Amino acid sequence: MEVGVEGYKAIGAALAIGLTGLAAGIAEKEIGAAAVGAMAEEERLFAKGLILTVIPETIVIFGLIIAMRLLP
Amino acid sequence: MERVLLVGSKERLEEVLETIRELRVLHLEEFTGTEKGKPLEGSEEISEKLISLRSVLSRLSEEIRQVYSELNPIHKITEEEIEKKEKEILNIISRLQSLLEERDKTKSTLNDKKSEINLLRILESLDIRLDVFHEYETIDYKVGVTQTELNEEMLKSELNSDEFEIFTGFHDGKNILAIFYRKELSKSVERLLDRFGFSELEEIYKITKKYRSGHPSEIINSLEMELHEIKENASRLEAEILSILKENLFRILAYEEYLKAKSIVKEAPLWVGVTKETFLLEGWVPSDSIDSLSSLKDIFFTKIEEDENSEPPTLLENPQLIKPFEALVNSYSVPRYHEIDPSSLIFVTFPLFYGLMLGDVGYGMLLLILTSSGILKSFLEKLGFGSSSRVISKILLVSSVWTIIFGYVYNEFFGFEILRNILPYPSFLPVHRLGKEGIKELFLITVTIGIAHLYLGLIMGFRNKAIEEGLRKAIHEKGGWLLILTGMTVLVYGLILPMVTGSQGISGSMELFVLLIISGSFLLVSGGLGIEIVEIPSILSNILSYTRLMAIGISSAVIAVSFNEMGIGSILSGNEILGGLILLSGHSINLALGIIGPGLHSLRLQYVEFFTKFYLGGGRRFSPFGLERKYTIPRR
Repeated sequence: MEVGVEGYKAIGAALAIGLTGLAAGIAEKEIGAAAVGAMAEEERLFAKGLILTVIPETIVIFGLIIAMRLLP
Repeated sequence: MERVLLVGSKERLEEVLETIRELRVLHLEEFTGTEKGKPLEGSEEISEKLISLRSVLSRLSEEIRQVYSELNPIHKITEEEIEKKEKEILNIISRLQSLLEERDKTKSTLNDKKSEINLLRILESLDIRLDVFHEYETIDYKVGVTQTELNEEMLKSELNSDEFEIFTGFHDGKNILAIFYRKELSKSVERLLDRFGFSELEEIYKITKKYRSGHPSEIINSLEMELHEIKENASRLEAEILSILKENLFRILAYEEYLKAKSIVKEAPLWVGVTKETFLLEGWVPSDSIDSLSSLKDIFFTKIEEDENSEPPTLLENPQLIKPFEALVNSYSVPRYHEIDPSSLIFVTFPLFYGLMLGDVGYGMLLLILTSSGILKSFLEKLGFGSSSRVISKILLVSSVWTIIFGYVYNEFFGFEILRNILPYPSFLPVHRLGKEGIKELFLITVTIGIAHLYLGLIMGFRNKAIEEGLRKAIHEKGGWLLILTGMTVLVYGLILPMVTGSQGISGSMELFVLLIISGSFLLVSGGLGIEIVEIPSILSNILSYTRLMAIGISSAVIAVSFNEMGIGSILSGNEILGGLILLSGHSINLALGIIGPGLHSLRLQYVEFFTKFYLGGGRRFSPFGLERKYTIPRR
């Protein structure tokens, strides 16, 4: 079975979203754990914790844009 | 906000504090300069009463919640009446206290008896009378659990002796063994039992010592009778507690409030300055409430000029509809006194973003029903959200309206694209979220919204900076960032968007982009903010971050469509019940996700992308001296 150009593009797009998602997850897991810990001690740190936790998320959006570029 | 000073005769301090408590307009500041006052007479007695009452209330929290929901509406009591009936109320409280103690005692005996029965059941499985567990001179015994089932023959050969006797049984999935042996054998018995993974049940000996004779089953029977009695007693106690609460709950709660009101006045002098004859009380009053303080007779009252060291507390004033959104701002940080309160902006953008993401007429209407009927609120209260439940519910109520509007735009009703058959649509609608063209359109729309949002943030940042640190600073910092944002906008529209949609880029946009970034950086560097240059790429990621408005919306739409396909598929193949269940549970899950996901992401766009451009916070909240009266009516 042969994979055509479209197929490679689809794989590329999937990798772009999948890997960035994974990376964001790895980055967020530690920040999130620390943020929840801090929040347990002081509830008003919710907003700061949220901000710090979601910072790595942006890389998924970069992945998304690359994927959209690959699959017009 | 005005800073005021009240001076009066020390004798009148209590009366003045009581009046201020009821006015609830003065934010008390700790007085510095002279000696501080001491708590007023009787303060210790009141706080003692308050502490013991609160301990009773906290131990009864479960019952109070139960009774409270049945007793509606609140019946308010005057302070005079409380004083008249104080003895009676105190009697009720001490009755509750002794009932609670009795209940605790019953609970612990109940548990003791239960564990005794449990142990006796183990002995029952061995089928031996308790008489055999004596103190013998020559014989020793052990009772415990073994890993494997043992028999007499096996032990005989292992011990090379037959001077022992065993009883075996099976209880609760475990092998039970009791072994009686000559004391001389004890070493070898112990070694042997170790090999078979024997663990001794020390607790059993307590039972055998306590009940020295009889068969375990007989004792269990009599214990169970006792248990029955104890249980009856416990439920009688519980019923009495509940009936006392039903009759007196509001009186008790009112008494607590009455004590609290007294205690804050008695403790307040710790914040007040005193001299030999006078008191000096300082604080902040909202400018429009200042007249109400002049009702205090024979008190010297004056405004103090604001100095730079004292920042006034912040009192946010928004229309009723916008009030809940203050909570979103406050949970980031309370605005400083001179800062723009972003609540009204969030009131527009938060629900707008939420609706853009969830965008489904069906979910929107369901959310509208859940929030306006109070179902969601009481659900959140049960989950332990407390007072935030009301706020969250109100925010979602506003958001649900936008969800319905965007549901119309996307032509989605629980994922079904059926609205177009019923409702009229202009030619440029609907935006079909799941088609390629729709995605491109949404990409353009969300990026544009993002750029507009960021411009708004930076412009407000410019305003704040110009007021606080002067126009020059504002031009260097926020002006520089505005140029960089413009540069990024050129980059996005000229190159990135055409790249995604697969069309030709706009010529010259690269040059313009570079020019704008360089001039923006120049402004920053010349303003002494060179280090901020490393943040330049973050503006691009800020803009692109808004595409989540599209991405999260699509994912929730795809989930809805998938459940529809599965559900309808089952129904069409003749399995109506399964199909119905799939549709029901699928859409419930998606709605639950739809409440959490868009809520958090919309909030994130406010906090991370928007607030960082202008909002600092760090203010103090205006909290007037006094208390909210829920159960009492103050003395006239």
